[in-house]
Amino acid sequence: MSTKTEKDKTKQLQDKCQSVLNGLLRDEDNKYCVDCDSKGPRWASWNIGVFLCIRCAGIHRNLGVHISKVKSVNLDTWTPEQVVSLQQMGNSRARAVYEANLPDNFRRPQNDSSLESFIRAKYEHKKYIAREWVPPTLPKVNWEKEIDEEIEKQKRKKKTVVEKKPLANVEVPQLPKPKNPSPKPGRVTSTPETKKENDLLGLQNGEDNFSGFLSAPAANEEPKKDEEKSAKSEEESFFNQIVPTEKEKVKLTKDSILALYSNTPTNNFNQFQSQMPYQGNFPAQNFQNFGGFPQVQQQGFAVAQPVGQFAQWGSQSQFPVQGQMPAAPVNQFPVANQFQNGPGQFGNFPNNSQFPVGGQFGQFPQGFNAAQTPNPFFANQNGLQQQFSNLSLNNQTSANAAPTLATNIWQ
Amino acid sequence: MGLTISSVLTRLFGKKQMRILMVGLDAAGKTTILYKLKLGEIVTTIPTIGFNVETVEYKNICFTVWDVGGQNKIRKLWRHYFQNTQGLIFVVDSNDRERIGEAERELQDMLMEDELRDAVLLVFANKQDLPNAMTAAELTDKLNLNQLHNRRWYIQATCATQGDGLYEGLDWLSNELANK
Repeated sequence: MSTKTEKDKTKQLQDKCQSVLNGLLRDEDNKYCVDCDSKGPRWASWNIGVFLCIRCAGIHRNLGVHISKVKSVNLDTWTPEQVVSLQQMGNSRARAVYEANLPDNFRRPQNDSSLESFIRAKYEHKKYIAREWVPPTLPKVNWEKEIDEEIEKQKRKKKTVVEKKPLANVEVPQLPKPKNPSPKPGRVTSTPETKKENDLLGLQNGEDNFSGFLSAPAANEEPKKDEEKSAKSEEESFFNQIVPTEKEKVKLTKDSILALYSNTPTNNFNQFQSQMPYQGNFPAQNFQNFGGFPQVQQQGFAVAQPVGQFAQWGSQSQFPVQGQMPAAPVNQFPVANQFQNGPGQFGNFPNNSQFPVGGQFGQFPQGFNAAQTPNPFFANQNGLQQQFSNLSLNNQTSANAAPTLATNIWQ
Repeated sequence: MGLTISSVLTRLFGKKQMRILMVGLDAAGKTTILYKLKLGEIVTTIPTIGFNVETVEYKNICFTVWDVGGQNKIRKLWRHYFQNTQGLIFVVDSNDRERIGEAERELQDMLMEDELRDAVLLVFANKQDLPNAMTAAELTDKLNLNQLHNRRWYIQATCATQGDGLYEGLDWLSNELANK
């Protein structure tokens, strides 16, 4: 009994951390790597409080944990303290702090060695740091208590299938946002500071944006403007919300795409997710995927037609999930298929002891060979290809679930 | 004469092979170690999602070294590499005092696996060059190595970026292979 409750609590805590992190990544501030400006960071240095791309994450790890503590947003487990540290800082503030004295005409280095020297100068030698900067003390966070309360509430509402109350909001003391954001060479940002200053994540508006993540999609995340409908759907059974009308689908998809470019925080992602419970992070992932491609190409991987290939897969609704294991050398590559789970997919991980998709090496012979080559970069490529194949699978799953949506996204 | 016979034997039976699995918490330096051994140089690495595998020849032994990603949520994949593993290299970031307990738990859990009962354990106490690094003796204590039963083990202080200690570790592994 107690162990089960403990487990539930841990899981809820993890889910909450994960959803807050995903929310942070959706923030305009954190959509680009803090060091190299590449799109769609999935890694973070939680003590510094910044989001990074995988390449800069590699460099940060070279600094040592006394300077930077790196974690993957998706592949690591997080504690509330670590998440709050990221919430307090974030990429924009961190630039204001660590790049306060960056020369005006500074261009962010793009090749590995100069990027490493830049990152070392920035965080190890603190060459550009704002003099007046005093590192904040981390507040005590007690999400466990809130989750306890939440579990209590759930028990009371046991009879109703639909979970109505999202997790209690967390008040996070925010550092003052820099009035004058640090120089961001090569990229113009027009973030409206006024609104976000008070409510960076929309956490204080009485509605938790992230509660629909992974477990139990909540009915109250229906579009607010459509109150009648939302009230109705609360009454309806849990499963009815999976099937929005065709019109709604189109509208929501468009909204969520637009949301990526608009500055006002919207709930569209969540609406989208709650309507499509099995898709998890569908929209975000897809955009991340696109964000990922140029970065990889930039690293010089000669992957034959990656984009086209995967995009194609993504739009195939008939993609056979099973039977992809073409007599793969299972003994030698016992886990090849395990890694097909990628960013965003690990939430489901503990429940799947068997992984859904067979070995992909038949699809990626070059990846297989690469692992044996002496050149480390090819080996890395191998890893990335595994990611790619995974990404494509994500798309494919989504496509299976809702072909219409997938097509809309690609359009 | 003896030399000739041994070389004939080697030619007849080929090189000795040893299958090595290298694991440890994320950012311990596994990939850096792998490519330092393979290429003799420091490569720019990114976090490993999945695995790297290389063969390293040393002292006429062909080590096949599997380097598996160490992020928390992908650690449960390690067990899929256990089969036929003769040597386990556990890499520790000696500078990371905060997470040494976590490393200890992962190591001890892994050593309880039946598939690894015959594997010898080599611990690399890596990143010895960093300011606050724990010594091999300290790590022996914190990893509870002295409490291991029925296990051949050895701990080696290393600094992968300089290459210090790596081949000493392989020396021990090759001796263990010879003694089997």
